Order: sequence, then structure tokens, then C-alpha cells
Amino acid sequence: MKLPVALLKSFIELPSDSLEELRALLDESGLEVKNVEITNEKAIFTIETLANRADHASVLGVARELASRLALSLKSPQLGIALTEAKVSLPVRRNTPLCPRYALLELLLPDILPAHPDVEAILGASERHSLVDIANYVQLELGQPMHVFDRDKIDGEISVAGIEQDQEIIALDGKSYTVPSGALVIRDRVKVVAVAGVIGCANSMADTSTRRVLVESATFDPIKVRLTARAMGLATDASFIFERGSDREMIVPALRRLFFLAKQVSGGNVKDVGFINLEAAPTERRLITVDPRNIRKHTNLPRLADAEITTRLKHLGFGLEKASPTELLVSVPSWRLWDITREEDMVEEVVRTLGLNRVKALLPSMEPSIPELSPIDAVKVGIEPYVLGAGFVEVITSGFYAERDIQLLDSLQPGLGGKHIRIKNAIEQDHSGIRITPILHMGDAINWNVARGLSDIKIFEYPVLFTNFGEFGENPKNGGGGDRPNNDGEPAERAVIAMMMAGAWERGCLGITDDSAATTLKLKGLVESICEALGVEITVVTSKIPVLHPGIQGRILHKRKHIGFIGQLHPRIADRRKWKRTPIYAELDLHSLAAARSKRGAVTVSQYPEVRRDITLGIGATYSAARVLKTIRDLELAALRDCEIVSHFVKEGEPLRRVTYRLTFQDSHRTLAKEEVDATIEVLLANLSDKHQIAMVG
Amino acid sequence: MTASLNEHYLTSLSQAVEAIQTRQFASLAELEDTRRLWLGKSGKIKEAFRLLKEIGGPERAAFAAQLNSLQVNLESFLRAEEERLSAAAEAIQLANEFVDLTLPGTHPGFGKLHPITHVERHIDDILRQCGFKIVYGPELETEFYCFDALNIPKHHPARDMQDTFFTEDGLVLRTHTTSVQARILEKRECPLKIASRGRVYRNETEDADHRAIFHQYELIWLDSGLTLAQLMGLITFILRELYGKRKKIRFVPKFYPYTEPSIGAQIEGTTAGEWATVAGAGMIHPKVLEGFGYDPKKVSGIAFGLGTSRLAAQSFDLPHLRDVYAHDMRILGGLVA
Repeated sequence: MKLPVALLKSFIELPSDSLEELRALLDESGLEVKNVEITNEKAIFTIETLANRADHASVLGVARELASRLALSLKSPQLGIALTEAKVSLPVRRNTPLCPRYALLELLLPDILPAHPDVEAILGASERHSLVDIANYVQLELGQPMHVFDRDKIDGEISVAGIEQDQEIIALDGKSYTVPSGALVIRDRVKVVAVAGVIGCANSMADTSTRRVLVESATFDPIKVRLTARAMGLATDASFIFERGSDREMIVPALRRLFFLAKQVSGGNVKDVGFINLEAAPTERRLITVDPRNIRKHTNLPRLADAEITTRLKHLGFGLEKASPTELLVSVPSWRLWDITREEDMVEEVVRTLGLNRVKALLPSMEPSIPELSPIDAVKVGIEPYVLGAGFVEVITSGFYAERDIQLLDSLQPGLGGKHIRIKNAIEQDHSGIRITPILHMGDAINWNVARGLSDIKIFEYPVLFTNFGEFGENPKNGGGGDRPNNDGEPAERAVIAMMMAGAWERGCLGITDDSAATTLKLKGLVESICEALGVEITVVTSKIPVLHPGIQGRILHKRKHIGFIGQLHPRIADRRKWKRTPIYAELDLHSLAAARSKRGAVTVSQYPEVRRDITLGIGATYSAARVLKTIRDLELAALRDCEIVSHFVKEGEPLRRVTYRLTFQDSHRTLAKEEVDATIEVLLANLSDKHQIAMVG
Repeated sequence: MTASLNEHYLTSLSQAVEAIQTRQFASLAELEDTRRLWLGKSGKIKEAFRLLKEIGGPERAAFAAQLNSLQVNLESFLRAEEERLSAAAEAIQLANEFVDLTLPGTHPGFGKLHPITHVERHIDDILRQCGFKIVYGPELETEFYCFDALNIPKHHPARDMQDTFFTEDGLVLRTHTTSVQARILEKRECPLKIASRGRVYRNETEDADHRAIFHQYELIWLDSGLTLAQLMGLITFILRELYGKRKKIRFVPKFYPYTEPSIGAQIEGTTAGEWATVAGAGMIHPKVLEGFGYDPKKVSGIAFGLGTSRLAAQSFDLPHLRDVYAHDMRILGGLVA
């Protein structure tokens, strides 16, 4: 709201001319000053009013707030004489309870109605009808919106009613709008002349030639006004007030003030030829009981006197009906019926006018106990030393996808795009859907840096992904469940750690390569370290995840359940995004990790020597080395304590890869004989030949 | 052997040994050959010792003594030569093993947490000391938890304060972490001290200081007899922990539909007279409590929310909100908490 300081001073005698002091006072009263504009030595404050306070959208409302704060009296504007008792020149009907009060004042104007100097001083010169300027000025003063109709453009009657069908109008601003069905409108016999509480129509507006006018002053249902204004895509000064609830008791005084100013500027040549005030019922009289002890308790001001409490409330317009040491019975002023309903509201009134900074803040006593970390936070704390130690920098990328992002994913697997949760009212095109994977934005982040000359980038993020479709093989219900469980088909949320990198793993100048196969295995090593640190056993199996390179990817399982995946992004993504580098990516589901974590028990170390044997097997290029490892482990051969892959070699011209498995034999009760170990290896090789058709090489 | 023969033999042996001792061996192998030739089992000194049995009388002892002396001298010389040669070889080897440690070290880089995570963890530490448990809630919410349960009925202007993303399925992206408050209150526990944090969403045009996604932190405390003065005491404590003991704090009235009274906490900016709102707070609205089955006469609650994005910008001297969410590794990788 624009608050002319000069106008404010016509309502209240401020103790100081200092704009800084006034600004601080307004701030502390909940009327935050956003801007101070000084033109021709006149100051205008832009203030942000509290969202529930229509009464603050007027100079009177602001002055009332300050009067209570400073314990000063308000100066009322001159209203002039009572309005005529003659009827207006046409029938007026109020056909809806959504308009509790509707008043019309019919005026006869002189040929020339000059601009009022007070109005012009505040609003500036305008080309509008000067009565319209007066109406706007009175709205600024008193907070009551009014509308000026040209009586000669009104056909036969005025009625307030809802419309049953959408209707096109041309409004005062010259623009065309669709008024939605159900909206409340003002109409004559043939046309809509105003949209109630929102805007008037051009077909009945007053212009400089207008001599006979009807000035509307009314109140309308806040929700109805709000719905209509939103549907029309309009927010006017009038709708701002009506949506928050206007003061029914200001309807007639506002008309009197307008008439007074019009008469004043015309030298008495404006005549009130008719007046009508249609009212559904008298304004509610609301009484609230306040216990002053509660106010003293909340403010921690045990000596705060009842007299000060009641004085401040009276300045705000509350009436004191009854007073006792434990009970103040107060009546709510008409302009606060919309937001004052109970004792707690009254506490706020007193505290605000006292000044919050008078409250004696008191740190409550607290039990010295530190709650446990949530399972997710505990996992994060467990894995961060590894992730940060590996040089990954945390980023926070957008949670939204643009339509082009969704289409890109769809090109990798038809139907994938359609599984996105769509936003239906996004203002920006980039916010068409919410993401099921962070890869596009993380890849963009990497390549943004690559484009600026940084070559080796490692980033990680804790995104929340929205899905219940198992796009990547995850099962939100049983394994990857996020904060929103997958109930009744609602979308689930998956909390994950996502790691992405491009370039070399290490920095430095000796022996650094950015061979993507080697780097992918290093990222996998990080994943393995993370899981080992948490005590989560994992296996990685071949997979068909659409966003990853078909030949460089794997699914991470814990006890056969999906907990993540790893691989190089699909080259098509890099191509379409025009990335210079195709990143490598790994993702682990945090809830699954939290559920799977285990504490490692004590390890028993055998006193007898272990025997190590390396066997090199010939394995096909696309055959899983891990499957062979699993077979060896699953055999549970006597004395075979462990098996691991220690070397992988591809010799040019050889059809098979050479993968070396290190077998560790050990018995906890005796030293193993060479013959036993040899025999066990024989059994093992026979099994591998049988199950995988592979044999030793080299 | 006669005495003159013995003497001659010894003299020639001594001369040969002296000749060796004048030499400088070129290599350890050459030295080893000499050692074997003279001191080995079949070497010349051992061979001379074998002659002793052919010598009788007092000459035998003198002969043996001279032989011993020759052997000791030769051994000593060869040891010294060996040490010289070994030292030289070691020096060469070490010289060959030189590594230029003025080169940059090889390392995987320096990982960093995001500024917002830093701020969140800092607040976590403060609040956990105060007994608050950190909980999470959904980001994709129902209108009930995001608005209705928080005294923000449909079509209320308060909903304008939070331009909302609606999904085609009728859900909303939470506009505030207060939705977690609603979910917790639903459990009807008391006393209760919880905090929640994370992403929130606003459907607005993005610019340097407005983002569709930003971060909030929020706490609620439910107990009997909590007061506004206590809420302000708690806020003051938390803000002093975050901003330092000397930072000026003031409170201003605010409106939040889910609290009554509602207040804002402001800290003084770098320019005198400029204040920045850093937190919104209030006593939980009795209607909210009643909505979840609490009796507001017996139970009161305080709620307090911070904008962690803005706090991160302030903590890391980032001029705009946009900078907090930038992905520039030159900035993110170099930030020091």
C-alpha cells in the first residue's frame, strides 16, 4: 500500500517529523516499510500490510494502529451533513446474501466539477472524472472502495446477483475479461455494469461529460470476490480490501465524505438527489472475554496494569463492556469482525500495541537430553567422510523438469516421460514436472563447470525423487520407500544420495588418467566403501536402466533388493544436452541403506596360516565376473575362507578376458595341507566349468 | 720348509697384500673376487695357514703370527673398501630414485558440503542440545496438511502468501515445512519437541532473490503453559548462537494463519536502521490445536521457522539467493564454513 505521510498526519499528530522514526514505528507495528519515496518534499511509504488486515489498507487503519501504540487521539475527517432521505431514481435490488449491505448515492453534478486540491495533492493530477478521483481518495483515507456509475448509462434498475454463465465484459481499464459463472455482478436491466468488489465496466463508467452519477458503496462476500478476481486474473485495490473483509459500518460514512469533498470543491453545487441503503441484518455485535493475567503471563510483565491494557484496546476501537481483575469483556469493532474471534487474538492486539520489544523474553528451562539422529541423518553422517574424502562437492539442483527434459527421458525409454508427476499451474516453463532422477540437472551442473574450463568435476546431492513407478527397478514400497510411503497409489518420495563425476578421479600431474572404465570402477569402489562402512552387503548385477549406457551400468542390490545403481550416463543424453563430457553416476537409496545397516560383530582370527592361490579364468567380454564370484562363494567349500577378484586383463586378439580370483584358504583348528587345497580347487574348477562353461587360462 | 724359505714366502705374501691395499676397487664384484682369492676357504691366506703344520719349533709361532696379521690387515682393508663402494653405490641408487616433491600431490580433490547443509547442521546442533528431535516429512503434500490443517482454509487470502504448485493429481508441493508440524500434531503427543527442515516450493518467477525451491527450518514445541515470552527467549537464544552474541535482534508483528500471536524476528543489517527478517514464529493457533484434538486451555505450542537459504547467503557472504543455488565449483569448492 502507498502511504502518503502528509495524509497520515491529517489523521494523527505524530510526535516527530523524523521519517526514520516513523518508519521504525510502522515496522514495529507490523506495517513493514518496503520503500520510501520522496517527491517534491512529499514522502510516500510503500508498506506491506499484514495479510489478514483489510483495515490496514487505509490511512485511517494505519493511523489507528499508531494511535494505539503511541496512546494518541485520532483526528476524524470531516463527513459533512447526513445524506438525503429521498430515494434514488431507479429500483435497486439486492438479490443475494453474499452482499450483506449495498448503498447507492445519486448525485447531480455541475457542468464542471474541478479537481479537489487535497485529492490532487495526494493522488496527483488525473484525466479521470474528478468525482472518481475523490472516490479513490476516500478509499485511501477510510478503506471503503466505491464505484461511480454514469446514471444515464444505467438502464432501468440496479441489481446485485450472481450470474449463471460466463460473461465477457470490457472493464474500466479497457481490457476484456471473462467473468466466471457464479460470480457476483451489478447489472441493470440489460447488461452487467460492474463485477462486484472487483472492477466496474466501461459501459457505465463516468466520464468528463457525466452529470448524473450513482455512487456505489457496499460490502461483498470475501471468498466470492477472491474467487472471481482470481478467475479473471485481476487484483485491484478494491478486491484486496473486499477479499480480506471490509467494514460494513464504513459504507455510509464513506459516501458522506465523498459528498462532502465534492460539495466543498464545487462550492456547494453538487446535490444529493437520492440515497438507498439495503441491509440484510444489523452488523454483528461480538463480545470476547479476556483474562488480563494471560496477557501478563505471555508478556512476562507481571506489573502490566489492566488500565494500560484497556486503554490500548480502546485506541484500537474495542469497547470495554465489563472489567474485573480476572475478566475483561470487550466488544469487537466492526472493522475487525473478520479476524478477531477469540481471546488469543486479543492477546496479540495488546502485545502489538505495547510493542513486542517490551515483552521480557525468557528462555524456557530445558531438559539436558540430546535426541538421537534420525535414521536418514545417521546414514548421511556415516557416509559423508567417504564421499567428501573422495573429493565430491555437494550441490543442490532444481527439482523440476521442463517439458524438453521429460521428452529426452522418454526418448530413452518410451513411456518414461509419461510417468512424471506433472505440475498443472507452473508459471515458468522449466517447472512442468517434478523429477524422477537428478541426472539431467547434475549433468548440467557438471558441464556448466566444464564449459568454464574446469576439467575434473565430482559432485553429489541428496535429492528427493518423486515416483512410485519403479522406473529404474526400485520398489518404493519394499525397498526404496521415501518420506511418503507408497500408499493407495500415491506417489512415493525416494531420498537418495546421488554422485556424479566427469574427468579424472584424482588431481595432480603424475599418472592421472580419465579413462572412463577405470573411473567407473573407482566410483564403484566408493560405493563399496560407503556400504562397507554402514555394514551393508551389496552385490552389483547387470542391468537395463534406460538412463545409463547399456554396456556400462549395474544395479546395486542388497539381499536381492534394489538399493541403487551405477554406470555411465547414456551417451544420447550428453549428445542432446550438448555436454562436452558424459558423466558417470551412482545412486544409493538412503532409506534402504538405513534399513539395511548393521553393526559388525567381533572378527575371529585363526591362529593357523592361510593359504592363498590365484586362479585366472577366461571369461567372455560381457559375462559377469561377479556372477562367477558369487558361484565360488555360494559353493561354501571347506576351508575356502574368502574369494576376491584381484586382476582383470584384456589381451588384444583374445576373445576372453582374463580375470584373476584370489582364493584364501584357512582352517581355524589346523594347518591345511597342500593336497587339500589342490583338491578343493579341482572341485571349484569343475563347478565353474559346469555352471559357467569357463576354465583357467594362462 | 727352511727358515729362509719361510721368510721369503712370507715376504712375497706380504708384498702381495700390500699391493692389494694400495688398490681402489672399481666394484663390489671385483672386491668380492679378491676376497675369495685371498680370504676364501681355498684362498692364499688359508693356503699359507696350511703350511704351518710343516713348520716346527719357535718359527711356527712367528709364522702364524705374521700370517694372522696379514689376514687381519687384508680383511680390514677389504671391509673399508666394501663400505666405500657400498656408500658410492647407495649414493648412485638414491640419486636415481629422486622424486620431485615440488610437484603437486595427487589426491582425489576436496569434498565440501553445500552452504545450506552447513547451516542446517549448525542449527541441528543448537536444537538437538535444546532437546529437539529432527524429523522429516513429505515434500509432495496434500492440501490438508499444507493448508487446511494449519488454519488456512480454501480461498483464504493467506494462500496468496504462498503461491503453490499443484500437481495434476491434486497434490501440492509443500510451500513451507510447517506441513510437517501438521503431520506431527496428528500423532497427539505432548510434550513434544521436534524440528524439521528441507526444501520448500513456491510457484513464482525466478530472479536473483526469488527461487521456486528454497530451504526452510522449523521447530515446534508443545507443552502446557508455554508463553510468548518463552518463545521470544528461545528465538533470541537460537539467533545469538547463529549470528553471535552481539547481533541486535528485534521482534515485529507478523501474520501467519497457523500461529496467534505471530511475530517476526529481525536482525540489524550492516547499514544502521536496516533490519532483515530472519525468522517467523508464533504461538500455535488454538484452532490448529483443536483441529488435532488438543485442548488449547491445557496445551500450548510454540513454532519457529527460519529461511535457511537466506541464512546460508548471509553466512557465506553470497550476495543473492541465486548464488546459494549456483553450481560453480570455483565457489562451492572454495567456501569455508
